[in-house]
Amino acid sequence: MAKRTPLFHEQQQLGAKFTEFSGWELPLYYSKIIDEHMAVRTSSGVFDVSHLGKINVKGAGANDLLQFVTTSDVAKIEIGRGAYTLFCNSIGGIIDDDIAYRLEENEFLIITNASRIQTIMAWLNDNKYDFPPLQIRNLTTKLCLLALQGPKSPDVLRAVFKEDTARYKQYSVRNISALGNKFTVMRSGYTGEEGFEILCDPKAAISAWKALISAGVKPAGLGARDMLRLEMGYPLYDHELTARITPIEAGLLRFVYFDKGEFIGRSALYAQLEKGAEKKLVGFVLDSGIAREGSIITVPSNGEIGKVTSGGFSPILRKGIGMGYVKSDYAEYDMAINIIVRGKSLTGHIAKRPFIEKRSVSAVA
Amino acid sequence: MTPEDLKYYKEHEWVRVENGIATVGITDYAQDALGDIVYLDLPDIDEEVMAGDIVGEIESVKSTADLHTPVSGKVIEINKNAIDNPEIINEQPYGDGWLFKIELSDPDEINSLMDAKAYDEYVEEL
Repeated sequence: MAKRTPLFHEQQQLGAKFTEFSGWELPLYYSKIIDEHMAVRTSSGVFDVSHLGKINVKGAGANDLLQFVTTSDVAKIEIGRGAYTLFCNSIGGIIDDDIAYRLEENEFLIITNASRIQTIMAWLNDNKYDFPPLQIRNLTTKLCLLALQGPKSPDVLRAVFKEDTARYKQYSVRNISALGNKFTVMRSGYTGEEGFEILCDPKAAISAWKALISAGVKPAGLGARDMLRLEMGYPLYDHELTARITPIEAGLLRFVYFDKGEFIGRSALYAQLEKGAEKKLVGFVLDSGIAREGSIITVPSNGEIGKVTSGGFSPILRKGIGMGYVKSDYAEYDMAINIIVRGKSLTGHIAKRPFIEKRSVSAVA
Repeated sequence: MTPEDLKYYKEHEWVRVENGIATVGITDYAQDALGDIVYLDLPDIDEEVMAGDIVGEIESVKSTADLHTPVSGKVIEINKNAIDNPEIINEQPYGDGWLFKIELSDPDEINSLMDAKAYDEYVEEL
């Protein structure tokens, strides 16, 4: 039986079509995927992302534990700020990509992928014994998370939550009171647009959801969310990122801080950095047609060079776009490629990511 | 409302026959199940096709579906407007969203297809 978020009935009333994702029953779309996509690109949309993991790490050893199990320089994250970071295993493989927020000097909130919550909980617990005492709590089902995204989202936050959005820098986090409830508001998102993620208890989430919909924000589902992240070339766990893929291969080296001291995966990653990665993640744009995950990428001169990890349609470019891993020698912008889709060879080229113009300071990857 | 002047194939294509020429499209049920259609691959003009053949593809933002021909014959026309504006299939599946036309090689084939009532019952059971 798939889990449902506390907003399930609100979403049902809005006519949501549901799909199963990582053990949760979540809206795929409410009206039309492209309409929801364009609302986020041009105005504002709201996603229920309560399925994302929410792990609280608190105590004297919190900073040092996270410094040891993630690739970013956690010590440099100020109170009230967060950072995109990676958890790696000993061979440098990515076991999750997360955002870590420092709520207090010794307290962090980690937002994880839904499918990786248990893995990260176990990882933190297994590694905590070398550090001063700390508490690790999984708050995933106790809290909801709404993602308000789009160029008009600051106006919406001002109107609905009476918040001065100028106080929010990228990845900042603030506790606020609004609508008779308490919220933790973060400036972040996964769409490339201006946006805020709003963390709260279920009762507050229902009131915030209703207020946002009443204010004209378009409810948006996983279909639009996936296309929005794809247009920005953002990786998705279990597709571009797995425990067998390193940050170097995934093009995420800028999130790895070798000079911060020891962390899990450091020596394996350093060795790969010296030797060079055999494959690299690239983006591609097709001349026509759409490639889906698993399609083979070829070049006329040398046959198969890799595989598609995500593929779809860009409503902005009106073309098929996607990402995949190719042999490093072929990871060159504008290189002509073919992608084999159901026995047909589609033509395209390796393209820079994001596929569309960078749209906001919240766009990070 | 499923048009009563058309015949229907189990893979959710419809057929309209006029003077030995069959116009083929996909049903309202099919376009709704696919969602936003964004790309269309249609058969070639003059291609000889057999009833039940996969003759093309319809891509929506969330999935890909095979396009079948419910009847045999020679492809004599394809809807270029639908290739350029695939959303027309969502908007008017039985009208401007038609897909291709076939010169029938066996006009009797049409008799093995479902009428509107039978198709509605078929969809009910899916």
